[in-house]
Amino acid sequence: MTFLYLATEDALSEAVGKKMIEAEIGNIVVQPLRRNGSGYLRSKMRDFAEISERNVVFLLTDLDNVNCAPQMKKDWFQAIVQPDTFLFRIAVRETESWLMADRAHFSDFLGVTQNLLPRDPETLADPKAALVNIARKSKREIRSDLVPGRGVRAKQGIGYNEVLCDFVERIWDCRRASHNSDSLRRACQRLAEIAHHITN
Amino acid sequence: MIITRLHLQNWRNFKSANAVLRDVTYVLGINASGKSNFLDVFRFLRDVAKSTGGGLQKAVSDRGTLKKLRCLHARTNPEVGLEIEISNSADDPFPTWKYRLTFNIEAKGAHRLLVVEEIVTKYDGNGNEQILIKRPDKQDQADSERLTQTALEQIQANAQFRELAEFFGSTTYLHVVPQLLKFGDLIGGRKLEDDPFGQGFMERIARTGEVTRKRRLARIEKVLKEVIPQVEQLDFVRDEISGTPHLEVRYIHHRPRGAIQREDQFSDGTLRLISLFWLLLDGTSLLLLEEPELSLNEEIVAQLPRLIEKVQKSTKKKRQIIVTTHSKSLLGNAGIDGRSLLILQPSNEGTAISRATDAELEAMESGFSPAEVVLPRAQKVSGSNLQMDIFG
Repeated sequence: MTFLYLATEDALSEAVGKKMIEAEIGNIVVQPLRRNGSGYLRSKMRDFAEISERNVVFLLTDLDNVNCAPQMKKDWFQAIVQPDTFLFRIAVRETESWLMADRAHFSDFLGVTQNLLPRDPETLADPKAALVNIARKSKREIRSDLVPGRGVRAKQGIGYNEVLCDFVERIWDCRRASHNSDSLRRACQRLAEIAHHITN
Repeated sequence: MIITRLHLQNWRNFKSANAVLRDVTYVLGINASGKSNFLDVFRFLRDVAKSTGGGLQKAVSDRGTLKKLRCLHARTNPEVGLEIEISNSADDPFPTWKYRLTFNIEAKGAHRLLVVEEIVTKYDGNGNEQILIKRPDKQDQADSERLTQTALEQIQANAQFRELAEFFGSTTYLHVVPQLLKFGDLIGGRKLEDDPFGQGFMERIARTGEVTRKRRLARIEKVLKEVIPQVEQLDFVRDEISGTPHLEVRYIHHRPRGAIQREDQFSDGTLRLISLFWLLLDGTSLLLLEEPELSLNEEIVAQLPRLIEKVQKSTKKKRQIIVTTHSKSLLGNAGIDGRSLLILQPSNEGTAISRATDAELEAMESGFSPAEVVLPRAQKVSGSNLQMDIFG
């Protein structure tokens, strides 16, 4: 038996990963590995490499403020050899970019015009801030969950994670989003390529 | 109305401490830093303000003696004092009320517990103050027995500030201990006044009017179904023979009619969850939540801040909620307002209360959660590395 492990740093990227697997591979059993924070992922690189010798590991992380993805990958792997079945994918720059890349669905979900959504979300320096800013114009129920209230010392609203996870699970279409995000398109492609390895 | 400022003087762990509170306030600190003692200030004021079965003498004797209330760090035997400011909203420039109470045991004679100072101040919208009560007054000087009672607890004396007395008196505190509820009859436990540990939780539900009760249980059922997939229905029933109130949950089961469990069969988590939800929906007064994360699974705990905020928005009057917590999951919500955190840090001179620093606020504004930014400081055990070697 070959299993598919999905390693992420938060609930939102886990939801995204699951949806991608569902779209590219189909309905298979996914074993999530998650403890919040990218430090955990980085500290487990050797273990991921080892487990992916017999199975498939799909690791999803954010580029955040690192300059370029190849450099980040190099830093994370160091001397570790990457098996073919260890998919190491970086969202440029954050998972939020991938959500916004599905412009039609996301604007619909927020109740804003599509023009408000960036055409090329990978170029955003701070996708989360951009998302929150767009959400300021969204319908009230969603706005109060995504956007911090006036004067509140926080970057996001109190229901941010739950609302976005709900969007991903119910609506987000990774194939449509792929048109506007190169890092997402390539991640989907790689997933489709390794699909035949999984037997369960 | 919400409590926006609090000053404590020789109150339990706090030798002298100030706190600023908001609509929702999260109180963080290591074990024995005084989180429960902090919440007890509001329960104490409630006990003092109660017009029946309350009052200063009762509030102190329910907590043992004044010695037990007074801060251990106090060197002589100074008075214990509280000062509270109440405003219409957290960002108002002026409070609407200020209440100050200090009390002590008289040094000679009968060693009565006496009010040392009691001041009630009312403010208009421009911050002009009007002192309604300033004690001890002439009558108190003539008859010191009057000082055994506060003006707050006396209906005759508090007419001008009844609003304040009622505000203090309606505080809710509930820290449901599932075992006390489940095995109450076996333990034969004495129920404390105001039932802080939830032994009378079923009666609390039973006392609520039927329409309200049904509406609340329906809302709770909805959330419960989301977090516990097998739950089908949550009902309130009365035992046919004894008339005792019960909660029943119907679970989806291999039998077509499902399986029914009563509250004594619920898991601790289910019970705490139901009681937490009930409490959030019950009333509009100050609500004190002591470690709501207990027995709950982390995914649910992570959603508590949002749930709390939702409840606040759904009620007409904004309800003030003070939460003590240790939970990384709860504080991992990066949407929590950095200004709503209070950190209790014990020292040799009593516990100090601080807020998030500017650097911490800045970090939270950039997307870090309180669990990342403030919790490490709040949970740091002072001194050298913690070594819990009980077998050494």
